[in-house]
Amino acid sequence: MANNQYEKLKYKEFLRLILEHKSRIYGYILRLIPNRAVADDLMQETTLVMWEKFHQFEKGTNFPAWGIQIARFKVLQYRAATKNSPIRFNQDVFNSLASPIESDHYQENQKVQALENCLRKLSKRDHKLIQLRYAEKQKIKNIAINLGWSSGMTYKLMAKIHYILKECIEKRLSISRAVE
Amino acid sequence: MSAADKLRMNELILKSLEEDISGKEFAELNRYLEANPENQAYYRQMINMYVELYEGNEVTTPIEDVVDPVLEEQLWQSLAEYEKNAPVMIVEAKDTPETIKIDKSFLQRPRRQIERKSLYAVIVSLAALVFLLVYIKFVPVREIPEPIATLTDCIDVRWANTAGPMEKGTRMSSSQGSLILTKGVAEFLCDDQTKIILEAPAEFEFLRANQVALNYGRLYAVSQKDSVGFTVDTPGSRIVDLGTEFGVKVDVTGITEVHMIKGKASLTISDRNNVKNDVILTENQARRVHAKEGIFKTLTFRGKEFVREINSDKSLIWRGDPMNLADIVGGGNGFGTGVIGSAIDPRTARRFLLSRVEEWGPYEGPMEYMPVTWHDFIDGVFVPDGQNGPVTISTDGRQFASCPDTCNMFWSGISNGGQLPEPLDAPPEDILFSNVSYGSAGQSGIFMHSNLGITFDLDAIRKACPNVTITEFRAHCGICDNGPGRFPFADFWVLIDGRVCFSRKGVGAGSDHEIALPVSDKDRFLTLATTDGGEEVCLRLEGNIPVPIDSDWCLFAEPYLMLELKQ
Repeated sequence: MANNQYEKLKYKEFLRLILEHKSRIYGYILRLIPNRAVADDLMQETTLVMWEKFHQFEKGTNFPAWGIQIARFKVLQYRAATKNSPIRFNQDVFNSLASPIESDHYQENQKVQALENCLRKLSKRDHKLIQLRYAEKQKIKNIAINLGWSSGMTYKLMAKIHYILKECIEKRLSISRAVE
Repeated sequence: MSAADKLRMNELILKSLEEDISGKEFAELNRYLEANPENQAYYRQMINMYVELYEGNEVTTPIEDVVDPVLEEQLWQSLAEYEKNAPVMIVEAKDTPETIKIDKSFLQRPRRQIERKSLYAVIVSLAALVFLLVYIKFVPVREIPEPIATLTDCIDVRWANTAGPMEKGTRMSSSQGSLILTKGVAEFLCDDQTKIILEAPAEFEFLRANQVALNYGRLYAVSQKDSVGFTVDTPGSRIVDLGTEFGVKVDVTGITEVHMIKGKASLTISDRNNVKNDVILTENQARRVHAKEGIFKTLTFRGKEFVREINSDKSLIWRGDPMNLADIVGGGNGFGTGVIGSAIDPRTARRFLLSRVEEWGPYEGPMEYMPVTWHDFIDGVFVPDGQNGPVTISTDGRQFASCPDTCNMFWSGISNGGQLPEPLDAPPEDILFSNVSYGSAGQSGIFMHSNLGITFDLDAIRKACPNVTITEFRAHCGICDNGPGRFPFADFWVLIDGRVCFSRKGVGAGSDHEIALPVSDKDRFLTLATTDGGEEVCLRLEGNIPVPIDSDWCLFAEPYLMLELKQ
């Protein structure tokens, strides 16, 4: 019974931490391996290892940094297994992207808030496209087919919408920094 | 970093994330990131934004319903609720439904292979809830690409972004994304039996068996008779075929032109307010689309801007033009690839250049039909003379039964226009007929001094253009204006399979005769011939021999086979 109780508590703690920091770990994997399907697999493997080694994690220390360390190991394993793939960053770029930078994360509340506000500023069409992609989880190619557009055009349009969002966020952040 | 670079990086990032990036494109992304830290910072931020959009709840409600940002607390409440029920979901061990059964001791155990496996099984079971919560969003939906078109032919093509080889018979699917044709012409047969031809530079994409997107370039589409619905999407417009043939041209700025060659098509545009406007185009009509304004503008129809038929074996590209027989005489494919001034010697059936002639005739004819072996469309050449009976005018033995008697002499070869130095040491001059110069491809003509004949193989032409019907032979003929002007006097003949279909006898200077002869699918050979007219008053050579070919600068001007696409 005590064992069960311990496991349940441990599990709850792990759940809390992973839910809180999964985006950051996943973002780290995705920037090194910008392929969502592969990144999903690597994230899954990373989480397994994290759970397996959770007993080694010291409460109060940096959980995402610990997770990123494990994720990095998984990514390196994947790179070693796919060293002949043309869809692979060269070593310099990889090394550079692999170094964690704390300040660029979107989970910072201000950025999340800015993103939400900027999403509201989008035109109906652009917002609909973002919804189809991120809320309904449709691939861009499928969106193109369903709307009867070419995927080339749809990618360009989506790239533009992301650009608009990014610019909008930057603008909002610079305004709020100035106000502060 | 420029806005264009950012847009391009975004496109490459999205393509990469969606497993839709080519090696070349990924290399481009790599180059961006190598270029400077600023680009890397931008890349990191874009990835983070993607993750936030993908995982966050910011976009789950429609824009009109977005009132307040989703609170983290709400998220936690819903997750806690889910987690509260979690053990019930994973009780597959059948013994203790209320609790999660786990062997805690695994954490301290030495790692042995078998135990590790079973350990993983337990962990996986236990962690199922976590994964369900965390990763349900990450499960990729794999698409099964369906082939929807076939590459049927191509000439001199270069592709910018294809993953595999693009050969005749290559099946195309909607999962291939945009194809970029940087050089040449490519023909596809869509699975709805619509033929499309794309001319470089072009970027296009197969969407469905009856739908193509054209980002830029020229596209020609011809549907099966009675088939409707083939659709071409361009930036800002949609063309839906309502029967047969049309051409679409999109420039790199997205401006679209539609030229209706045959039948009907519906052209629809949506302006920036999504207000639709449409028009039905009929044969020989054209419109330019101004998508932003939501309007069409009428254009001059230019159907011949579009390649309608290709044959890579013959290097043949057909834009709806009639086939130029003079160009074929010059060694070309009938559409401008022949050499001006190239001629055929009726004695040998070989080619030579007028500019390299060292001595003009008269020469004596070979008294036999000379097959041409270097061009499929030309059956052979001959010097007509009826003195010994009917003249053979084809390799299968057809005859020119009513060929008049001639002197069996000729002055030079049968040429694709060109310039003639007469005398040989004089500067070469264009061939002039009815005050028009026929020395160039623009105004082409078959120059054949009297007593020459040439037979074209219509079946060979049909074989090279299987989708095309020869409907008519057109030309006009007469004596050139700038010949020596002494005693021009000649006969002109056009025969189809040995039947004289056109003749003008005793043609002198200053007259121009129209020729328009229908050609049926059963007609095999078309023969053009000139004879000397048998005049008594003419140049005499040494020994007082009369030369009735003197000054007979005969020309079949603008000799065309009229072609139509088979229905």
